[in-house]
Amino acid sequence: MIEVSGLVVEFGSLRALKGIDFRVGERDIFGFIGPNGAGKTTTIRVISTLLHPTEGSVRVGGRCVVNEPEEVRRIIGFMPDSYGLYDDISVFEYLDFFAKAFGILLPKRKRVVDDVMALTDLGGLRDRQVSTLSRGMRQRLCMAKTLVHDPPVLVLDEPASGLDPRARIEFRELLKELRSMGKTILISSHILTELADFCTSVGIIESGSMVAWGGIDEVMKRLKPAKIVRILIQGRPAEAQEAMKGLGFVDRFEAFEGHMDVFLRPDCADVPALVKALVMAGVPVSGVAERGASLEDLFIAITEGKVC
Amino acid sequence: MLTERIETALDRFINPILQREIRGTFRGIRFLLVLVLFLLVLGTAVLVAAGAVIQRRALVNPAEIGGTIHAVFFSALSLSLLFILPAFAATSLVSEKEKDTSDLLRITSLSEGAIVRGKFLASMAYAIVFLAAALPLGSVSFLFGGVTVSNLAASYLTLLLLAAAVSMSSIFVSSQMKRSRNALSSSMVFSIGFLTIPISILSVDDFRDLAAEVLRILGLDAVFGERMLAASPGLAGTIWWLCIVIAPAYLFAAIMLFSYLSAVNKLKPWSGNRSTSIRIFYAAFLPLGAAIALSVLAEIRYSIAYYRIAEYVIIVYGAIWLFMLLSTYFSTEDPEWNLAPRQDLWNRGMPRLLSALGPGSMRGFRFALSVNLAALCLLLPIANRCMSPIANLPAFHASFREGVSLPLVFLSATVMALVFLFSSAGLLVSLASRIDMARKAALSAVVISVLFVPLASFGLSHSFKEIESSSPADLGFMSPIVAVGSVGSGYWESLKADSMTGGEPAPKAVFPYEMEVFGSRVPVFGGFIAFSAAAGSACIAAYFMFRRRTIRG
Repeated sequence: MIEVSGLVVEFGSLRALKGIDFRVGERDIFGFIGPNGAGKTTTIRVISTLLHPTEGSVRVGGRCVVNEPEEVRRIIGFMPDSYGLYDDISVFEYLDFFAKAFGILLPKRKRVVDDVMALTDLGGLRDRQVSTLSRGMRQRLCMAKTLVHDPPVLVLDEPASGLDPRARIEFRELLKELRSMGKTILISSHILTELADFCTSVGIIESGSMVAWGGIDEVMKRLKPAKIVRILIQGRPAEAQEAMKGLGFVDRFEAFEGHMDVFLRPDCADVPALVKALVMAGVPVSGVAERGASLEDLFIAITEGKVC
Repeated sequence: MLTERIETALDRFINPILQREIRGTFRGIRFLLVLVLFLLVLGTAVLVAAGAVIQRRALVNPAEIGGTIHAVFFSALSLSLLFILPAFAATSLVSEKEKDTSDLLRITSLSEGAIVRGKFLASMAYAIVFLAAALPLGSVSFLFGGVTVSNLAASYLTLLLLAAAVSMSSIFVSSQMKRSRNALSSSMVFSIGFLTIPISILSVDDFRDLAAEVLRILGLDAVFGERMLAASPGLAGTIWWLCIVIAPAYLFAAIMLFSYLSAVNKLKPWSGNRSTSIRIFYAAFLPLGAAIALSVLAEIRYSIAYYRIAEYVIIVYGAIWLFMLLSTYFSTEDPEWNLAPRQDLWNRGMPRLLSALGPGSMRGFRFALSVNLAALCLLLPIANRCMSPIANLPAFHASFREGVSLPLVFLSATVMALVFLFSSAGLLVSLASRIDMARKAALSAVVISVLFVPLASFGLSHSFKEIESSSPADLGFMSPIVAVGSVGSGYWESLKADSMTGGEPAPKAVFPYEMEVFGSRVPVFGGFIAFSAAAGSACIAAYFMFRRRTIRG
């Protein structure tokens, strides 16, 4: 549904995107992840026809974003990271405005706006002035605006940033519902736990280059993130850290109250040797458990936190 | 049911931006307060100013009283519109950027043109409400007579056209700026231009007939045209059509189209050079503008002094050149970049020297160069053709015999060269910096050039010794700096003497061929050059200082 190939964007001498490629299939939920300044928003702005690429091509639903922007805009719903809202009108008027801007005429428009408000749970706020809404409600309103012309492709740029946990869970539920409605969704975020639950594929971008992309399992398999072992210890953390420093297969570790997460290199992970080294150093080990690598672990493992 | 049907039928034709702006603006208490305040101020101004004029002139004729009320009403309403409308229109597009709604609008099915048109219509709706609310006040003059319905209609048509020009130019400014405050202040400058430029032109003695005709059409002669109408028969024939219909229509269309196209271009994603529509605008409007301006000059060449022809031709040249520079700059500048456009040219393999010449991009560079060269090639023969009949004037022959024409040619060339140099220097300096700084530098250069053109040309005209006396009315508002600088050297006294002689040039009015600068007498023309050079140098120095500070920061 979205095809990006050889995408280069330059701002003067700054090369913001250095030839990235990825594809988002129909009904996929594509998690677009990367540190701040990696090029996520630039990519999204090109896909949304707001910025022209310097080189490369981007197609949405088979339409070129440069040559056929009107057609692309009809099939795409874009939600920016800052929810742009008009404070001086009501919720209904806001949605009515965007529905009209997408060419939906009366009397159909009233029905469409009512449906979208019901979907995003805004029905009770119909006549509320936008300026009086909370951040969570504003986010829902912006989402409703994105859906008002029933686009098959949704491009969401950091949609859940700044939301409280309840609003975030509600938003996740809404995304699941949209997926069940057959929407293709590209969602960017740097809060990886948000994406891990429901993304079918991911793309990891850093410094304007695509580090990896594909199905989550496929990417995990290909990149082999570190093996993580959680070791429960009864005190003496300093000795434990000292003991691990000498082990070549330990990539890094994180110490917590009562336990440590140890990241082992995937090619030469030796858990018995690790336990042995700790015991020999006099660390009272009370338990060892292997933990599966998360999207976050993968992200940390393959990115270096560089920006363009 | 009926209202629903009407609503559905109208829905197709109403611009959504207009609808939203009306919903958001007109229901607010702020709009009501501004409207009430506007009517209070307008009513008070008309009452006080008209009362003062009537009392001072001891008018008893009802027609004169009616005419006075109408003239004061029209002036006060024009002034109000010039300052109220920018406050609304100048923030229209820039506020979308500030509220982060700009991208949301651009991603809808609305074209960039529809967005700009919606904003323009909203501003016009605002203006129409104000004009309609003021109409009862304006109709007070009918109680006394002296004003015809056609006068009022012509005044309102003028006000509507003024509102349209102010709205569109403010929207253009709004599209170029990133902060409401900057957009507002810049729009006010444009508005002041809309006020001062026509007054400046009409106050020049050579256009006395035109001024009289305009005042007569608008019904403003009771206050402003009393003396002028007595001295002038107005216009007739070809020159009437040229000055009253064609030239204003051209200027209005040029302002509207340039502002509209530039604002639309600014909303589009940048792709190297977004100026196709501006090219068409150039191709259609620049030669037409030059032809109209030079036709007007050709028509009036026998009624104005030969030495002033050069002045006007230089002004026409200068204006067109500056307009081209501004248009080129605005139409090729990249809104997404934070870095110097020059850097981009380097990146694309342009030699360092050439890359310093062009705005924006390779395509922008080629475009700017070709348009400017083509325009110069086109304009010079037209101007020469226009100037050729002047060569047959006895005065020209006389001046030639006295050896004046050589300095005339020499000085004209010098002035033109300096104008081009200033404009180009501004553009070159601007290209060496970041976009935000570039705009400031380019605009500074333009301001200096705009000051320089009338100053230098005026100096050129008046440096000839044939001029025995020079009426202060000749000066008009064309050379404000000279006017200010001359106050201390007796010029003000001559102005007063002139007003006491009832508009006739004061006999042997003393025009300061020399100005006093720090205690020493400096020739006026030399003063112009020195002033412009100093202002230009100061501007460029300030710019570099600021630039260094910005880079350090």
